[in-house]
Amino acid sequence: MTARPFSMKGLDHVVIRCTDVQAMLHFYQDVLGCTLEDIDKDLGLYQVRAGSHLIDLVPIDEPMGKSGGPAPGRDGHNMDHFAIQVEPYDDDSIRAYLSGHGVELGSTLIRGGAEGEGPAIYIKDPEGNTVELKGPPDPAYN
Amino acid sequence: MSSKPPYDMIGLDHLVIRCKDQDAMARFYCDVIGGTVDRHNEPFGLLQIRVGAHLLDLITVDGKLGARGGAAPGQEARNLDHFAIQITPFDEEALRAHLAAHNVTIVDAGDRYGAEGTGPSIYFLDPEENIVELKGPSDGVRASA
Repeated sequence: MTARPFSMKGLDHVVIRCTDVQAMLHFYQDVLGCTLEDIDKDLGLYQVRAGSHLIDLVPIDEPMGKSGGPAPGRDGHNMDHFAIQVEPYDDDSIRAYLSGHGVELGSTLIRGGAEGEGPAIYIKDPEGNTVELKGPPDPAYN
Repeated sequence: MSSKPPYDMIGLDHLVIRCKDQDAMARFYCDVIGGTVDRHNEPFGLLQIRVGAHLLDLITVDGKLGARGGAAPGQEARNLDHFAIQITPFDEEALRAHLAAHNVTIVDAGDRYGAEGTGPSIYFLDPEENIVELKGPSDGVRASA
């Protein structure tokens, strides 16, 4: 067996299948604060930037999204959730901000992320995907 | 209502995949892809695999965390189309040989636009048919939407 011919740097992007791409674009840009990166209408690929990485949205009725079959339901997901690092993490102001946009808020918990234990809030996007906003690691927990 | 979020986004931190056979998935992500086990929280059915700077978490669909998401994912109607991991170097011939040696099904390859510009990618299936993209170094040229 050959040696593994590469090493990993980290995540580059996640690609989410969706039904209403305009509602999803509104949420990821106008609420969460992503910026529009590119739209490929031929493929049906809508890319927004989240810091160093991309979140790609593929509507299920456009070419790329069609290959994955029907729309995802509210359960039976292959992705439980994904997490975006945010900074600073001020729970009160984040909750107030997101509530002001009508976002369904879950608990704030101390959770282990890629850089250690720190605060995280769990929210739902318009199509029921869980998004975690993850603050910097907290020295009190590491 | 404040119009801007009270934070800056740094980037992705982790991705959590629901799986039926966590052991087989862990072997794949460690032995084939080169991940390492970061932490294993057995009561929660959570196995965290380090993929470079980030984590890929595997949760069992019947575990404490996974059960919240209902049924196991099927072959279709998934919420995650695919995800991409940056690798270096990208030697397509060597990658194909490595994946073939592990009986991995390659589904596509070619230059694609990612977080750092356009660069080579190869796409294949994990044991539960999630599509994984390994992405080589990119040209650093940003698209302008």
